[in-house]
Amino acid sequence: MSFINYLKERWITYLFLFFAFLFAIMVYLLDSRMNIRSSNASYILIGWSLLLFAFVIIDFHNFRERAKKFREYCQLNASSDSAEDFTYPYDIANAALVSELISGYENYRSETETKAAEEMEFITKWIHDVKVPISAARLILETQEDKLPAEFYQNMDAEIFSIEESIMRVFYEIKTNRFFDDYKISRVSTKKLIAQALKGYSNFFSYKRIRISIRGGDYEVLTDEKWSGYILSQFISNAVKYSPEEGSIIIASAKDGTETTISVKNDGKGISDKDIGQIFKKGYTSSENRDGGKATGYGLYLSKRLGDLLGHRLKAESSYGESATFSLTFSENETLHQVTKL
Amino acid sequence: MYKILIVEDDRIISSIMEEHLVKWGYGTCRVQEFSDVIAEFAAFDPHVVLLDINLPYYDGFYWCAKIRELSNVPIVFISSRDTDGDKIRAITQGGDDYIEKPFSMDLLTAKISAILRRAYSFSDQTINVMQHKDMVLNVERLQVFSGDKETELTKNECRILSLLIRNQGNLVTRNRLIKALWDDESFVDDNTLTVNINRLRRKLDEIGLEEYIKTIKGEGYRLT
Repeated sequence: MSFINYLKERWITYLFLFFAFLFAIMVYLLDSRMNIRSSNASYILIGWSLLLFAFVIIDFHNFRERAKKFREYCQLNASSDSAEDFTYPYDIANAALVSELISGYENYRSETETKAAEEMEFITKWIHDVKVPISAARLILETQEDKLPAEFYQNMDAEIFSIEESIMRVFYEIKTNRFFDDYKISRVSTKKLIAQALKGYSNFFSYKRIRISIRGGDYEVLTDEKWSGYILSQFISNAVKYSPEEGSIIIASAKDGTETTISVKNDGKGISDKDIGQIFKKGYTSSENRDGGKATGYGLYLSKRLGDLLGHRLKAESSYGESATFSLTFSENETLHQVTKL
Repeated sequence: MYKILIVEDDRIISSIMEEHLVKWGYGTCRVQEFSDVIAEFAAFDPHVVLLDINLPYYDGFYWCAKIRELSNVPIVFISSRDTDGDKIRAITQGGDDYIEKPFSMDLLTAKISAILRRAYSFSDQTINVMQHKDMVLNVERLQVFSGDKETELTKNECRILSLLIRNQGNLVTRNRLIKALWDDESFVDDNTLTVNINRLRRKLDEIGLEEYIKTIKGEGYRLT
């Protein structure tokens, strides 16, 4: 509590003192018959000033201590001190009020946490449960593959795949909110990351007859395998959706000093300049048509968020009308630093 | 004949697995009574156990530990649980492999034959060998024999040929071939598959196995 604030708090007291003093001076000056020696007058004035000075010091100190004590009381969540410890009745009343508010808040928080944990448990279980009929549907479809018309099989396959993708999105969305409980930074080879991300997309490459080429060396990066794999699979999912029939997708790894970059490039319409800045935003979908799957505007947003949490850099580039490139950059020193800082 | 015990409580999934595995020449048994898996395990005495984690009564981890008390039989977990924690637990409790649902039957059969090879090939050399008419494929050594002639295959060619042989002259679609190769982490596209098939054909021609692989236009391939 600064002195200025103290004065603001006590302004009425000091205004009163000032007017009382002014009144006394006026009476002294106006009444010529008043018989008081000037030495006595200055004696009174000095005494009065000393008293005032002492009052200001004591009152300011007192006030500051009160404020400090009350602040500490609030900061300790009113748990250790009881409201009765305060001397002044007004402080006691306020302390009781604060303590009530805090206990109310604590209750609310623990209730919310329990509820969130229950919901989390429910969703996790639900994800496991729903995967069972999905795997059954997949197996049924697979066993009938040679008997079904190709178009029917492909459409069903694509639909089931998009259900699976949506479920994975639920999984990763709830995981990002609990990032700190569930990540494991280790050395992972880029080849392994790419392999993990590509799994499951084989059918789209074969339906649309997309050419795939994996270029560059195999480097080790520091990251969480699963999360980075998800980011890459989003890039691939996107590339597959935007790629024209018989287009080509190039996945390249490159190392530049301390930085390793995995990029996914697809040819096709590309992304217009006005769209490219928005591409990682939530709910953003391009206005242009795409085939091979519906856009949710969520995959890239989630990837960006995961990338930020892991301290990796995501970038989208495009030459409009020709190709689009998404890249994920791991930087050696920064990554560990960022993560340990979390 | 190798025997496989299927511990999976979803009837549709377990029946499809059974049907497939039987078609591919394995003996199977589906557990009916989940309160006592051990009894059925002991009665059937399988070479491989396929084990789900979410089961009625006790979970898969429990049964894995119980089976391990009795036997060193290979155990493959098949589960919809996909966290690292579950996979690590499965392997540390004595599982040999972990397949995540949803999975493809081609992947499952590939994993089963790999596991059988690892576990039993010392005592049984025929496990690495597949045959179709005059053609004999050794999947371990990546070689094809016909009479006294032989040729070497690449890993991809071997995968393609073994899938064709396993399907005994039935159509195998291009999708399925590509998917099987992707499951094995070699990422081939449509063109590369064609190249691989042509090269495989040439190699088979060289050892006198002409026109073994027939193209079904626009769909896939089958052995004749």
